[in-house]
Amino acid sequence: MEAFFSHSSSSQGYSHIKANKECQDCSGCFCNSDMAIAIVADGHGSSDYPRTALGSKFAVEVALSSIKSFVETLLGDESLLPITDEEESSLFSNLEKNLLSQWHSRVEEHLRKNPITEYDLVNVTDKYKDKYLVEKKYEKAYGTTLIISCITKQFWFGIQVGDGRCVVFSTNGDVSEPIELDSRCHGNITTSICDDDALLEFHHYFSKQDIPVAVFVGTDGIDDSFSSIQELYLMYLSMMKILCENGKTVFSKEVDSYLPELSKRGSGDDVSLACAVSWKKLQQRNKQGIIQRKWKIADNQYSLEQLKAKSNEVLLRKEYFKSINDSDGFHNLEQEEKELSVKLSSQKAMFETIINTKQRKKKHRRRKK
Amino acid sequence: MGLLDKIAPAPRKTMTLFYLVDTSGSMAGAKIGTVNNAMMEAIESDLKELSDSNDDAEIKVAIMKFSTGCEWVTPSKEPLSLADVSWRDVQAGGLTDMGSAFIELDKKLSRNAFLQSQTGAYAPVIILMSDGAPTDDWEKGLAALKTNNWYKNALKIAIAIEESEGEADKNVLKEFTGTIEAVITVHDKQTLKALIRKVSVRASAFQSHSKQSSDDITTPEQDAVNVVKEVVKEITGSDVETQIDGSIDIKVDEDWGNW
Repeated sequence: MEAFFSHSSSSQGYSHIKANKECQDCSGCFCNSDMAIAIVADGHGSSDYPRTALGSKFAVEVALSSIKSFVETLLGDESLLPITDEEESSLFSNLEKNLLSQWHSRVEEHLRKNPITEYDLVNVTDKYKDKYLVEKKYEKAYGTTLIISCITKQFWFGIQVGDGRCVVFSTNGDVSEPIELDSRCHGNITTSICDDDALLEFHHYFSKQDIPVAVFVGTDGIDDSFSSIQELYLMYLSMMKILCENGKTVFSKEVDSYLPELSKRGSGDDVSLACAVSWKKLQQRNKQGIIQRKWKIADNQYSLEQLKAKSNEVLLRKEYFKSINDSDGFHNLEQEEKELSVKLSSQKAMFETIINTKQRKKKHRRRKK
Repeated sequence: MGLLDKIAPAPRKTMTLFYLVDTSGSMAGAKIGTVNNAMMEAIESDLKELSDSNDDAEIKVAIMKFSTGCEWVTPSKEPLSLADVSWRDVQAGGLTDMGSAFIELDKKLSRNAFLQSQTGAYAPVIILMSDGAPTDDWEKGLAALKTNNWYKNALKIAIAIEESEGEADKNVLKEFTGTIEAVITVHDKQTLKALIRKVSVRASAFQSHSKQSSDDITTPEQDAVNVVKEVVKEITGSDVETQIDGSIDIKVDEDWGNW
C-alpha cells in the first residue's frame, strides 16, 4: 500500500470568468513513498499586478522542487532535524530564503525575456507605475501568496505567506490550524512574496510528533465561500469521507468538479486547494470509523446551527410583524415556528445520541486498556 | 449533483442593503409622504423582483430612522430577508441626530452583528436620505464609522432632499459617501420617489453580482459614482451634469413648490 497521497486542484473564479479575467491561482502536489506535499498560491486580483498569474505559477514550481530537495536532505540525515526552537527557526529561515531567492530568479529570468512594457501598464495606477518605471520594483508585478505543507513519517510542516488557510486533521480526526494567522491579512489585503520584507512575513509550523492524517491548504477563495470556519472544516471532512469511502480517483474527480461550483455559489474568486495525506494512517482511521464519526458529528452540528438560525429568523420576523402591527404576517409564522421547533428537538436528540455513543465507546476503550 | 454537493455545507452569499432615513421634523408633510411611498414600492416591488431574478446573492435589508436619536425599523438584532420586509410608514418629528445614526451603524457593520452570514466580497450598500443639517456631533460619529472596514468597502450613496437651495448640508453627505459625486440633490417628490426606487435597485444589482468590469478593480466610491450616473441617466434621459461644487442636482418635475 502506498504510504502517501496528494492532490491539487485550481479553478478560475466565477466572477473572473464573467469578467474575462485569467485564473490567478495556482496549485501543485507531489507524493512518493517518503512524503506528500501540497501547495497553493494566489495571485493578487488588482490590475496593479499585471503578471500575478505567472507569479503564482513560479511560486508553486519553485516550492515543489525546493521542498522535495529539502525533505530528501532531512530524511537522509536525521542529525539535521532540529531539536531546539532556535535550530528550527534557523532551518526554516534558510528554507524560506531559498524559496524567495529561487522565485526572484524565475521572475528575473522571465523579465529578461519579456520586459515590462507600456502595454503591461495600461491599467496600472500611477502609484504602481512609479514602482515599476521609476523604482524598478518589477517583482511586484508578479506578487502572490504561498502556502505549503509536507507530511513524512518522521515529521511534518507547513509554511505560509499571505492569506488562505492550512487546515490539519490529526490522527483522532480533530481539526486545527497550527500556522499562526497573520493579522496583516484581512479583507482584501494580504502579505505577499513580492513584499520588500517578505522574509519576515513567512510563518511556519514544524513537528516531529502527531503526524497528521491529512493537511488541506486552500486559497482565500475557498474560505471566503463559507460564512463560518465550522462550515469550512465540514467541507474538508466531507472530502476526507469521500476519499475514505470511494478512493483516490473518485475523490480527485469530485474535488475537481466541485471547485467551480463552490466559486459560483460562494466567493466568486479563483479557488485552489491541495491536500497531503498519510494514506496508511487514513486507511487505519477509516477502518476504525473515526473519519465517518467526525463527519457525522460535524454534519449534525451544522444542521443544528442551521435550524437554530432559521428559528431565530422566524422569531425576528414575528417580532418585526408585531412591531408593524401586521397580525396576518405574525400568525402565518406560527405554523412555521411549530414545524421548526419539532425539527430542532429531533436534531438535538440525534446530536446527543451521537455524542453519547462516542463517549461510551471512549470509556469502553479506556476500560479495555 | 456530485457526492460532495450532497454532503458538504452549501455556500451562500448575502448582500445587505442599509437605509438611513432622516425622519426629523423638517421632513414632515409631503417629504416623508414621498419617502414612505417610495420605500414601499422599492422594497415590496422593485427589490423583490430583483431578488427573484438574482441567483448570485440573497439580499437582506436593514432600515434605520433617525431624528432625536436613532432606531431600527427592521429588527435591531439582524437584517431581514427581502421577502420578509413590509414597509410601514414612518412619521417625522424631532431633531437630526445623524451622528447617533453613524455610531449605531458602525456597531452593526460587523460579523458579530448584522453581517454574521456575510461571505465572499459582497460589501453592503448604504443609502442615506436627509433634508437637513445634523444637530448632533456628526463628525465624531463619522470618524468612528470611517475606521470600520465594512463601511470603507460599502457602496455609499446619499440623497439630499431640498425644498430650498442649500437646505441640506451636502458637505456632511459628501464626507459620508467619500465623494460629492455620490450625493444626489432632489427638489421635488416625483424625482425623489424615482431616485429612491432606482438607486435601491441599481446599487443592489451592482453590489450583489460579481464585478462586471473587465480589468481594473474600482474603489467603492467609484462604484457609487457609476451607479449614480446610471440612475440619473435613467431618470432624466441625459448624462449627469454636475454643479459648480461637484454635486449632482436633478429634477424631473418643473414645479418647485410641489412638496
